[in-house]
Amino acid sequence: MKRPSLMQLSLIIVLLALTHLQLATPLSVTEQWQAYWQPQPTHIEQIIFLNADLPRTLLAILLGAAMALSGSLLQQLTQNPLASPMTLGISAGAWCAIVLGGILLPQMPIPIEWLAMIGSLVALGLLGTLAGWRQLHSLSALLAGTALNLLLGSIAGIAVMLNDQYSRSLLVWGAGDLAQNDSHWLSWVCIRLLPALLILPWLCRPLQLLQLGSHAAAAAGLNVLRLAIITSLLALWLNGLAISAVGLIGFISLLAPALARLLGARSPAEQMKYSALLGMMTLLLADTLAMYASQVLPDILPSSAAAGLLGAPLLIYLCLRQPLAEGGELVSPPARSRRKLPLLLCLAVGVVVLVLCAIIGRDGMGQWVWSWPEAQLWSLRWPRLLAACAAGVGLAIAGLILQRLFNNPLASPDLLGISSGASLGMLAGLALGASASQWWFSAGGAALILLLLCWLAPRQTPARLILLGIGLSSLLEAVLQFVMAQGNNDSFQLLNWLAGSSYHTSANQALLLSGLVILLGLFTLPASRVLTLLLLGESHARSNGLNVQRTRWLLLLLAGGISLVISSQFGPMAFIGLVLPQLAIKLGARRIHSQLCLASLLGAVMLGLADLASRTVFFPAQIPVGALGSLACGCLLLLALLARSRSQHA
Amino acid sequence: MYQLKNITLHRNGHEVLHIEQLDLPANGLTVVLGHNGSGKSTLLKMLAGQFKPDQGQVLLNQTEISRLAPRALAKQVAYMPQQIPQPALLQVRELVELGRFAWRGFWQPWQADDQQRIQQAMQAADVSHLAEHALDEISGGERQRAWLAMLLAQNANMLLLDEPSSALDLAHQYQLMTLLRQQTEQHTCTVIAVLHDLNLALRYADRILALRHGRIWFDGTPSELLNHPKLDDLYGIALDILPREGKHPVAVVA
Repeated sequence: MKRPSLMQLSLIIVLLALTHLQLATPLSVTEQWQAYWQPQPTHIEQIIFLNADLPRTLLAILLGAAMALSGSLLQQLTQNPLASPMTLGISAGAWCAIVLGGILLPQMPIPIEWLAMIGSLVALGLLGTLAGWRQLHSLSALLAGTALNLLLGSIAGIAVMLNDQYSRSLLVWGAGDLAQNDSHWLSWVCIRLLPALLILPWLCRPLQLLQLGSHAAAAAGLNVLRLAIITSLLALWLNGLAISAVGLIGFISLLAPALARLLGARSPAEQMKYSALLGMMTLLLADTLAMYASQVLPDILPSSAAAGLLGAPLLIYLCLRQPLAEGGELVSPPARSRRKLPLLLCLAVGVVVLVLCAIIGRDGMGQWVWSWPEAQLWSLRWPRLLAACAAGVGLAIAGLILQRLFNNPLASPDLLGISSGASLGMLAGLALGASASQWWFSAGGAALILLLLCWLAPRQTPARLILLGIGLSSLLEAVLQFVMAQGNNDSFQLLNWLAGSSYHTSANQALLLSGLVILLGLFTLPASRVLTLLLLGESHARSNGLNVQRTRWLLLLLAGGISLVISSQFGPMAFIGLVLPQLAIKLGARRIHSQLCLASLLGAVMLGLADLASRTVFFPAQIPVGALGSLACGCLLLLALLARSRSQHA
Repeated sequence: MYQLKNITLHRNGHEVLHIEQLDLPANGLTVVLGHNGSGKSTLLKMLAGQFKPDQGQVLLNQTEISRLAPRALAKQVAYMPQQIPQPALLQVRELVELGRFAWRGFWQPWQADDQQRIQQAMQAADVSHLAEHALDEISGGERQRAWLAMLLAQNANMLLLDEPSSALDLAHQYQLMTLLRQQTEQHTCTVIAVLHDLNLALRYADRILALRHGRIWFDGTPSELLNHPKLDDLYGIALDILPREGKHPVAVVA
C-alpha cells in the first residue's frame, strides 16, 4: 500500500475540521468566515460560534496532536508498541492527583497542570519500580500499568465518594469532554504546548539511535538516561496538558502512533509527524461523533467515550497481533533460605488477627469497643467479614495459578478482563433498571468473558490472553466514562460497587461465596505438580509430557471461576491477587503447597483487616473494603520492591 | 527409531529445512553439525515434537509424532533446549523430580523407584551437591548439567540435546560427552546432539549428520567425514586435518 503523504492527511484534517464546525453551528462556511473577520457583537449565533464552536474545533486539533505525540514519544522511548499514557497508568496518576488536589486543597494554590505533572511522575515512578526500568519494553509494563490504573482509579473513587457534594461535577469533567464556553482553555493550551514542541526536532536522532536498544545506544555514545528523562518529561507534559484542559481522553495516545506505524512511518521524525496528524484526525472524528450522538441521544456522549468506542476494538486487534517480550522476576525469594516455614505459627497468628477483626468495633459515640458484639450487630458483621476473607483467599489462589500459568509475576485475576466483564454486566443491569438481580447481571457478564477466554485459551499464547484482558478493561473504561458523565445516582452506585464495597453482603451471599471459593481452592491441590512444572515455561513443560493446551484451559477455567465468583460480588479488586502470592514467596514459601497455604492465609488476614479498617477508620462513614485492600497490598508490594532495590545496591 | 519422509519447512518465506529421507535408528550417538542457520535446532525441535513440518512425516516407531499424547512422547523422547530457563522458585532437586512427570502424571506420588532414579541421575550429571540450590543461584554450566539430570531421570530412550556443552568448561565438556557415550554403549539410550565443536564430534560420535542450508550435506561416520573431499564447504572455511600418533586426529582452521 502506498502511504498517504503529509499533505493528503492535512487536507483530510481541514475537511474534518470544517465538518466538525458545520455540525456545531447553523452558520454556513461563508458566514463563519465573516464572523471571524467582521464580528458583529449582537449576532447571537456568531457569539456562540466564536466562543464555543471554533475553540472546540481548534482545541480538538491541538490536543489530538499533543496526546498523539505523547504516546509516540513513550512508545519510541520504551520500545513498547502498546505503551501510552493510558496503558501505562500515567493518565490515571494525573487524574488521581488532580482529584486529590481538588479535594484536599480546594483553594488550589498549585496550578492544575503541575498537579497533573506530579501525578504522572509518581505514576511513572511506580510503574518503573513495579515492572523494572529495563522491562518497560515488555508485557510486564502493561500488566503493571493496568494494575496501577485499577489502583489509582479506586483511590480517586474513594476520594470522590467521601466528598460527593463537590465531586459530582468533577466526575463529568473527568469523563473527558471537549465542550468549551470561551477561548480561555484554547489560549491556555497554546501557551504551554507550543514551546514544548520546539524540543522535538532535537530528539529525532537520539531516538533513532535508541532503536538499537539502550546498551548499544549507550555504547554508540548516547547519554541514555538524559534522553529518557527529557523524553518522558516531555511526554508527560503533553499528556498532562490534555488532561488538565479536558479530562481523560485515553485512546488517542495509543491509537495515533499505532496507526502511524501501520501506515509505514519508520524513522522517529516520520513517526512523530504522522502520529500528530493522525491524532488530530482521530480526535476530530471522535468529537464529531460525540457531538452528533449527543444531538441525537437523550444523554451526553463525552468525546472520550466516543474515542474509546472507536479505539477499543482497534486496541484489541493490536493486542492480538503484537509480539511482546515476556517479563522477568518481580520479588526475588530470600537468598538461600533453607529453613522450614513455621506454617502452624503463621496459622495461629492469622486466626488471632481474624478474631480481633471480628470483635473490634466502634459504638454509637465513636468510642473503640473490644468485646464480642451482641447478636444483632454480629449478624451484620460476620457476613461481610466472612465474605472479605473468602475474597482474599480466592484472589490469592487465583493469582498464584495465573502467575504460574503465564509464568509472569505480574499476572493477576483482575487483569484477565473477567472483572471488567462483571462491571459491564452490572452496568447493563443498571441500564435495564433491574435493581433486585444485579448480582446475576454481573455474574453473567463475567461468565461471558470467561467463556470467551476458555474458547481462546487453546488457540492463543498466554501473553495474548492477558493483552486481550487489558483491551477489555480499556473498553470498560470507555463505557464507564459515558455512565459517569451523567453524574447521577446510578453512577454513584456503580462507583461504589467498582471500589469493592461489602456493606450489603447478606448471610447467604457470604456463605455461598466462601463455599464456592473453598470448593474451587480444593481443586487447586491436585494441580500442584502441574503448577510446578509450568515454572519451566510452556514449551519445556510440553517436552516433559504435559498436555499444555488442556492444562491451560483447565487452569484458566479454575482461576477464572474463582475470579468470577469474587468479582460478581465485589467488583474489580486490583493488586490483591498480584501481591499475595509474591508476598508468600518473599516470606520464604518456595514450594507450591506452602506458597498456596501462606498466600491464602495472608489473603484472609489482609482483607479481614481491610474490613475492620473500612468500618472503623472513617467512622461513621465506610470505605469500600476492596479499595482499601488494594491500597494496602499496593503499599506492601512497594515496600517489598524497595527492599529489593536496596539489597541489590548493597 | 525415527523416520523422516519428504520434510519441508518454511519460515518467513524461506525454506529452512528440506529432508527427503532420513532414518535415525535406536542406537549410538549421533551428532548434528552445520553452520549458523543451517537448520540444526529446527530439526531437533521437530524431532522433539514441538512443531509439525509444513509437508512430510516425522515417524517415531512407525507412529506419526503429532499423534502421540504428550506424556507418551515424553516417555520416549527427552529434549534439552538451547536456552535453559532459570526460574528462581525451583531447586535443582525439584527440577530433576519433574523429569518423572511423564511417568507419574498429575497425582500419583513418587515411588521408591522414582527416588532412586532421581538420585542416580543427579550423581551421573554431577549435581548432587547442588540439590538444594535454586536454579537462578547456580552458573550456566551447572544449570545445563541439572537439566541433563532431569532428562536422565525422565528415562526416555532418546535424548535430544541442543548444544548441551555450550556453557560447560573444557573438563565438563569432555565429561559430558563421556557420560553420553557410556549411556549409549550400555544401550540405555540413544543420543542426538547438536554441537558446534568439530573435534568433540569427531572424537565421540558414532554418526555425524551435517546440514547445509537446511539440506543434509553429509551423513556418515567421523572418519568418512574427515576423508570428505569438500570438507571445507561445511563451514565455508578451509580446514586442515592433523593426524596424531595413536590419538584422534584433530581439525584446525587452515
